[in-house]
Amino acid sequence: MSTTNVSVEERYSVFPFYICLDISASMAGSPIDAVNHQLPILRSKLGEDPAVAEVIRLGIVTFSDVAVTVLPLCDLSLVEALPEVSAQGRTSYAAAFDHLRQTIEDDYARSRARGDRWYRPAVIFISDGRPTDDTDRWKAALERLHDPAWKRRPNVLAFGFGDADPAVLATVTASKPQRAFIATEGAEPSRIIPELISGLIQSIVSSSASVYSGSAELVPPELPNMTAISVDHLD
Amino acid sequence: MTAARRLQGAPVRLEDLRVGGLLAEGGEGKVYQLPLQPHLVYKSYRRPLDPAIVEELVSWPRRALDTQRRATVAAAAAWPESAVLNTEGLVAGLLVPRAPKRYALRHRDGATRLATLSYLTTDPAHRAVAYGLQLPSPAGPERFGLVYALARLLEAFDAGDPRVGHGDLSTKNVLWSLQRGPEVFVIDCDNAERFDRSGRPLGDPGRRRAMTPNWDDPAVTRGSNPTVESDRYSLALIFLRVVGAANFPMQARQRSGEPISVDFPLPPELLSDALLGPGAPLWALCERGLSLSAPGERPPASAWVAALEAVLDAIGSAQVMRNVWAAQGGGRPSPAVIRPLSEESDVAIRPVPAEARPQPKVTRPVTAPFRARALLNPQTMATVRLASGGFGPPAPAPAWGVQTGGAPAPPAAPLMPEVRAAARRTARAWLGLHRRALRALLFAQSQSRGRTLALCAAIDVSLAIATMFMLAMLTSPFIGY
Repeated sequence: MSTTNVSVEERYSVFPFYICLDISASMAGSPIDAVNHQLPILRSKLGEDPAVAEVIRLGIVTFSDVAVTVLPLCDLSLVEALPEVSAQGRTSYAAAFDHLRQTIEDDYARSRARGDRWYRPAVIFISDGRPTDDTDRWKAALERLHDPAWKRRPNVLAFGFGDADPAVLATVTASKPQRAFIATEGAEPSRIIPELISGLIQSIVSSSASVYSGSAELVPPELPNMTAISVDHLD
Repeated sequence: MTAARRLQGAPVRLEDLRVGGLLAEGGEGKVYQLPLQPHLVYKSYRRPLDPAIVEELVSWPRRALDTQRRATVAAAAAWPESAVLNTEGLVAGLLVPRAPKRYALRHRDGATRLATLSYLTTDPAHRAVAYGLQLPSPAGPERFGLVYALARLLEAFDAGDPRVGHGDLSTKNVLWSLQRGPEVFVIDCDNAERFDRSGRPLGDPGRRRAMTPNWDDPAVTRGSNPTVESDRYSLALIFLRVVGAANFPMQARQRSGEPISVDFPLPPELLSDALLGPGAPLWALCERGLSLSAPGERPPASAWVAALEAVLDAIGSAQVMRNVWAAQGGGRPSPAVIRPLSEESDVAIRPVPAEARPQPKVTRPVTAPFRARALLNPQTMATVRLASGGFGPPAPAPAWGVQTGGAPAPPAAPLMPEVRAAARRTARAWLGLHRRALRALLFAQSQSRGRTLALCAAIDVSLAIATMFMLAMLTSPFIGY
């Protein structure tokens, strides 16, 4: 058997996470304030732990009428500051999905050029509403994101509150079990968002630990006021 | 004097303790502060523990060690001090020494965090940029000193009668400090097992002992407990990672049966030293410690103690060694005898000249894309501001976010507020740039110093020319031109 060389440059494969955040007008007020309050906590908890930051890469994409990368995929210990977002516009799921596919593809090419290896990326999709764009249009964009022929297709976790539609969220996750979550009816977004972010932090920390065991797992978060949307088995 | 101190290892009743805030939570139980005994923590278990095992564990340093090694264990390990009994008389948990405050690091954000091994296992330049921490250079004497301090503790574990193995010497369980010289503080010692001279565990065979992925002994099959040789693997691995300031991920490859060859970078002055250059006994020690084919041949900690003392002497850092003695008690243990290796090792360590590592790059968030569409149609664009904190003033130049269009744009909004906003943004960018330029002047290591200063100068010269031109235009009618 041939000998494997391990040098100082030998790194662990990285686990990329993309937070895809709905910032449409309905998020204005306390929900978006809660997001802006929580994002620095996310950075601190994940970025200030060297063992987590070593293997996790995080990017943030926001979407309303358009989708924008507000934090390029990065090592959270080496990020200057997290962006502050404000709510405006409508809810274009199509913009979000198209942008995600393009971003993942570009980031992957850039990472490979640096010699990084990737685990399958995870998208954390957070929305408080239903898509305002044409159903055929966002579904076509979603299909491109989940395209089985596309090697970099991500695993998607979806979290909904407010007017989010459980059926739509299940579709967003390609109807995989334990991937789509909806807030308890009547739960205040200002309460749901901190719980969601702290659940995500725990989920990412646990996922980072699994990277070190050599077989990465996307560990779903435990959320007190959210329930998993049940998904049928296909025949 | 606390109840635990007064009783010197005798069980303490839970109702006699004032239990404070939760410090940590894990699979086995929870760890709480004790406001009246700040040097201790209360580790409570989900299930009551076997009183006989707890008694053996708590009394081990007293019964199994000489005075000098007992001092080393007391200084460098959170060895459980007493059992805590619940109202039914069952062992609900343990009183365990709390890591002294010096085993923490203060990040740039002002918060302190436990000094885990992960801080040391990468290029210190990364930690300097990320957290504002100044850590010793790769292969620096302090790094050798830290491994030496750990080797002395493990030597004490090994010299006991019965001897003990920790089994989970992972990043979070081996804390370190350089405040008083190199020191380590090993926690989660309730994971330890006693072994007889033949290496057979003396505790309950049904008890599950923890091992942390990435720090585990690949010779132990999944689901089995770490052996008496596992700490020897950990010591060799920690030597590689801490002194080499790199991760050297190797367990997965070793498990798949691949022979491993490690290129270990050393500065040229160390590479030419007889005790560190190619063929030095230290590398044989490391190779055998990491061996998977012959775990029984892994050198004991005493061999590492002797080898690291010789290295510290050779590199002119005997003071580092004396600092470790001062912190842990005692002096040189008797030199270890290294047995010859019966077969060729499956691990090869090759010292190589250290090369410059890539500089860490800081990521900046993408600021609000500044363009006509955003100005005219604020509803279509999410505005993005920089949150306060982080690395200092925000980036002045707005980077362009990649965008993907969505629905058609709604009708145009009045222009004036956007123009004002744009002016404010420009002013902020100008101020930010100058703050950065000032920083670049003050701190020589500042990133992209030349570019920032050049950009600043170019903008200011252009502004000055434009202002002078405007002044000339305004004043010329009054002075007759």
